[in-house]
Amino acid sequence: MHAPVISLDRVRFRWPDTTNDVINIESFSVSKYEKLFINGPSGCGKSTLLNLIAGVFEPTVGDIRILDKSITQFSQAKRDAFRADHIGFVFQQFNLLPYLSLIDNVILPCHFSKSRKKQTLSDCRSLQEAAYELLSKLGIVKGDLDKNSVLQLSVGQQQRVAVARALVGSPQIVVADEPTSALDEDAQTDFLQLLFELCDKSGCTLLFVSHNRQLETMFDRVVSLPELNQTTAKV
Amino acid sequence: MKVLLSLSIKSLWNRRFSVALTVFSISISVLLLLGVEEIRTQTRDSFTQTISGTDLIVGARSGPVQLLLYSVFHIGDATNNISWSSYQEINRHPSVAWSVPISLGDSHRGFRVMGTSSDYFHHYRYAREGRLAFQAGKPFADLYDAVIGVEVADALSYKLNEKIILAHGLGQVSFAKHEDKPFRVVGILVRTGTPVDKTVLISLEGIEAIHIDWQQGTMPQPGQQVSADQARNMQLQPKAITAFMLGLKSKIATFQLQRSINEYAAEPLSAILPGVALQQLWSMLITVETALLVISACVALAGLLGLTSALLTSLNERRREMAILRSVGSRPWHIFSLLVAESGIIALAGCCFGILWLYIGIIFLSPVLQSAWGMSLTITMPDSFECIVVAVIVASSVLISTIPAWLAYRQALNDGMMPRL
Repeated sequence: MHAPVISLDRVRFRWPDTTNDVINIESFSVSKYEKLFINGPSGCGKSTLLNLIAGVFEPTVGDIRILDKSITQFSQAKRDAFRADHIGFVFQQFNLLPYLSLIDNVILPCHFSKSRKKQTLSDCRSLQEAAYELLSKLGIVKGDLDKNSVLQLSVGQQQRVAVARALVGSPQIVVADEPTSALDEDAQTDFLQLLFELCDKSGCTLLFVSHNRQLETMFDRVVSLPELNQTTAKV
Repeated sequence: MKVLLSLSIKSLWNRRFSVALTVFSISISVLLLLGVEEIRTQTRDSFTQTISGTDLIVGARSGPVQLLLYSVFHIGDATNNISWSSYQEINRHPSVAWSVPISLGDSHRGFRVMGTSSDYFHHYRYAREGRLAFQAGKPFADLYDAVIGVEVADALSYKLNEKIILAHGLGQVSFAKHEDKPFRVVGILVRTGTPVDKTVLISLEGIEAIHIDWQQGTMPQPGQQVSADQARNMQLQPKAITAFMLGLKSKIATFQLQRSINEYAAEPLSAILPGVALQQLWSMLITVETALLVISACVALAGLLGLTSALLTSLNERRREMAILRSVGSRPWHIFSLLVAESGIIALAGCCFGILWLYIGIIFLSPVLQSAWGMSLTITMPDSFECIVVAVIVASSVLISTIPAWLAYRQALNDGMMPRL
């Protein structure tokens, strides 16, 4: 068993000026290299939990440790920098900035994180080359790269570009929030296999949130968020 | 931060059509502000140079603005005349280089008639180095010759050799006409944008000739009339004139001569510096220009509000964009500065286009304005006022954009990475 990369200790979160906790998690941890499936139907505090782990929101009480660092002790700016350095994100849909090219979308995190830029450049000669390499691993062919706008890509292709962005510069953690819900069933499995392969290659931990329990079987471990989150409040 | 600037430029380019509208509305307000200012300064310049190259204007004792008004602008009446002998005596002063007498009091169908010498055509200057030029004909030579300004010619459709009858007094409709002594149009002047355009110019002797049989300002009694040809053989040296213009050999003597004319013992006279009097007159018109500037400032304000509302309305549709930026590690203040930078870029582009429109406008409109009103507009390097306008507009748009930027900042904090759309 590897050391936990994410651990939550008696974490509670409530919005200012409200009386009910949205998140109340006694204990939760994710170990290194683990591929964790979090089963989260809507309304169970899923977004809030991910924002807490990302350091975007600050818990009302409790401690969150990421990679052995207590991010609850960090300033907001430091948490932002920490997130940029160590966590990649893939969202449900509309992951890409429409005004940037495919390549620029992929290398976007390198502009906000020195360490990921350095890591990228240690493997490749340029950021563009790294992005190109990642994209080709994800099956984005040269013809797609020439498209004027990322919006001309299919949804499946857009999600794969988002994976490339999450993985550029090899962050230790990848958080995927319903990345497959816009894909059809065959594409979902293909997408997951690609995601797993790349996570294994770069040695990162995967936190995968979805309400689609059919995908559970492909993961190392499954956690049900409604069971984990002891709150009585409806989000 | 370089990446933010490049992001904001790319983001703006992505929304280029709506952004172009905002840029356009700002450029229009900049155009108005600068255009009004340009017209204001250039009209002031051409106004204050309605008469230039003349060092002193001398008339009967009165205030400088009044003397200027009747002698140059032909507005109002002279308080008194100057005797010919005083004029001759001052004319003999060693520092006087040239002098041009002016005699007013008659009119032609509402336009003033001015008696003067043919030196007037050599010495009258307007708008820096503008000289009187003829679009047709030549200066008066004969006793009954007249030269008319372009507006007289246009309004009355006069051509060369037209016979005109001058009227006594200044009314539009006059019952006392010098019908026995018609004048012939021998010259039409080019437009100057000065009161000369509305003037009928004849010789001093012509003025004397038409009044030679008049007694104390009333029409000649029957039997005492002098015919036009008889008048030619009579003594036509005027006994009095209304005012005269002086050019000096050296500018240094101006104040000295002015004082000695003002203290002239034989007759109460006033000598004025036309430039100074024109400035005084212009300062009375300052409320008009202030009003114009206030209006254009309001237009600029409307442009800025348009910019803010455009940013505000775009905020909601850009929540996803902000969330993506947050997820890759941008801080809330990055979002804030992104919007501020966008608004600064829009304002700067608006200013550049506004100045461009102004220059294009000047290039195309300047010939039209010149021929219609004699107003000369020239392209000048952006002066301090224009720089201030640009700086104020960019600064206030940056300032005003802190409102949507702050909202975006709050929104980015609340949304986190998963905006509820």
